[in-house]
Amino acid sequence: MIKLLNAAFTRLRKSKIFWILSIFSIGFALVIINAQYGDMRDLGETIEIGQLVLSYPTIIGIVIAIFISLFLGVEYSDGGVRNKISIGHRRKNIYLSNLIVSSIVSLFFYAIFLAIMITIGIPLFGAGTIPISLILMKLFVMALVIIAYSSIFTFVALICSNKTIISITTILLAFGMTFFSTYCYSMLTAPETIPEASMENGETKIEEVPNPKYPSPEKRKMYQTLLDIIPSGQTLQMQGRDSNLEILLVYSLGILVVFTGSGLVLFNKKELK
Amino acid sequence: MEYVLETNNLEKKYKDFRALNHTNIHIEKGAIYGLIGKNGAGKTTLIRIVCGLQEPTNGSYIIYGKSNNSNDIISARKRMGAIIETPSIYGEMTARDNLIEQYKLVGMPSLDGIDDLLKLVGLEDTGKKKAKNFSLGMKQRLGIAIALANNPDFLILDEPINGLDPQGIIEIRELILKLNKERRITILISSHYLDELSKIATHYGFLDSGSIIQEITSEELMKKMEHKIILTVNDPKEFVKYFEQNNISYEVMDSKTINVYGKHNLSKLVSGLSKKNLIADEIHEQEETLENYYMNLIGGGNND
Repeated sequence: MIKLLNAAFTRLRKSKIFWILSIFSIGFALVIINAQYGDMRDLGETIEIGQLVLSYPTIIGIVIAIFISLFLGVEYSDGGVRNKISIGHRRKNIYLSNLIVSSIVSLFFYAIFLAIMITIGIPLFGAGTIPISLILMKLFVMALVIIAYSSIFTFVALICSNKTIISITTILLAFGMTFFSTYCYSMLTAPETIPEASMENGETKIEEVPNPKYPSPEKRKMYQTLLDIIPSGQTLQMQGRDSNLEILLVYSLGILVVFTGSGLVLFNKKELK
Repeated sequence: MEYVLETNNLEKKYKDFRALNHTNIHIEKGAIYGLIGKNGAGKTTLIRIVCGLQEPTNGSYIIYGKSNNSNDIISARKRMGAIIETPSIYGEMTARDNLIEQYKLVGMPSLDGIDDLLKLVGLEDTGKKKAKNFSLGMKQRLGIAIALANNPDFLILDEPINGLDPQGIIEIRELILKLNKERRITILISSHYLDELSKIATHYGFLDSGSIIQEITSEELMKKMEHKIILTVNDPKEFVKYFEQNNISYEVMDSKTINVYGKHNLSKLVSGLSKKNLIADEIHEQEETLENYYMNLIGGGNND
């Protein structure tokens, strides 16, 4: 396993996509700081640094998908997996080493973003009002969400053998999860009533009527569960103040165990060419 | 006999297609074993199974005394290097970086041997050129260098000269011979370029429809492929006496056929026999190539 990790990190240093996404993470942090600073200066808004540090995970799924599809995607096309097996590495170790590298790199992208946010954001916006213990707890859960994301895309990259299919699947999956969780979130935050204007005796009357799009209790439960399970849904919820971190933590661990467990079983049985 | 690789009734089925059918091969230590078979005969399937990429449906194989059914097969594979169809190369990296990667993978304590390996395969001057921009021959040689990174005792090369130009073929051939002679590496090489194989192999395995139909050493094969005159006669005993008296190498094939080996002038041989009143019913002169031999062995008609 150590040899596999050592080799993977050696390749990582030469990987263009790793450096490009690292620079992107820095750039994204700077863009957010700049935009928020503008709002603070021009509109007098109060910026919570505790909320800002959780803004990258909204798109980190897509960043991880791009990295894994391009870094692990060549493992089959360039013969990397075949080579590792034929020189005596166990399949279990090959799978786990790839998951570890993907997770560490994904966490690294987030760490770069955090580092920029903290070093530039705190002097600009102040430390904020969110308790540090809550921010740390959220960062811990966020790290697990990032690892859960990595486990999903590592599964795809090592179970499919075709580089193009891997790229399309992982990126579509990342976008799909982001859009789907945004939809679920918007349904859950829909108001129960909406104002409706009517004319009575020549006078316009505005009254609150039940929102027809407001989900039923069963549907609300379903949307909430989906939002809890999907990593992009978890990141969305964590940006709010009242997210249930314990549940999100359990679901992230669940995703990690389910995808890694089934990935190991399928990869072990996979007939390679 | 010490075998590096031995398979026992190996079978591989893909749905209704049987790629390997009770395949038995025996590769002796120090051999260059040429695995010969037409496309689809099962060569690559056999190699994939031996390298652990696929599991056999039935049967077993043993590498350096370790069965595929035991956990020790992993340690046996550490003594192997392989190129299966295309070399395992990261196209975005240079030759040196690919070797560094492989050194890390096999756990070499230092990177000291990389320059020697690059020199061995003639890629010491490739500098910063990415492997994806190499010619086919260069990629193949880099693949061999990668396969040699763990100082293997057993090297598996699947179709190593496919797509190479004549110069590339010569370079790979010389490299294989060098590895076998200087480093004493046992080599399994599959190919359908029979003439090329005949220049390097010390042993042959002929594979057809998933079964090994013959294993033979190059000496035995040379003898079988020797120039020969085939005589069809009524009474072989008298002919045998004549050949014994005249020190002519022969072999009685059946009650009516005698093969005479060596370079003989056909008319002189016939006239010598006539002087002793030995008249053959039929006389054929034959000189076989490996290709002819293989075609005869598998029954030429179904070959592609």
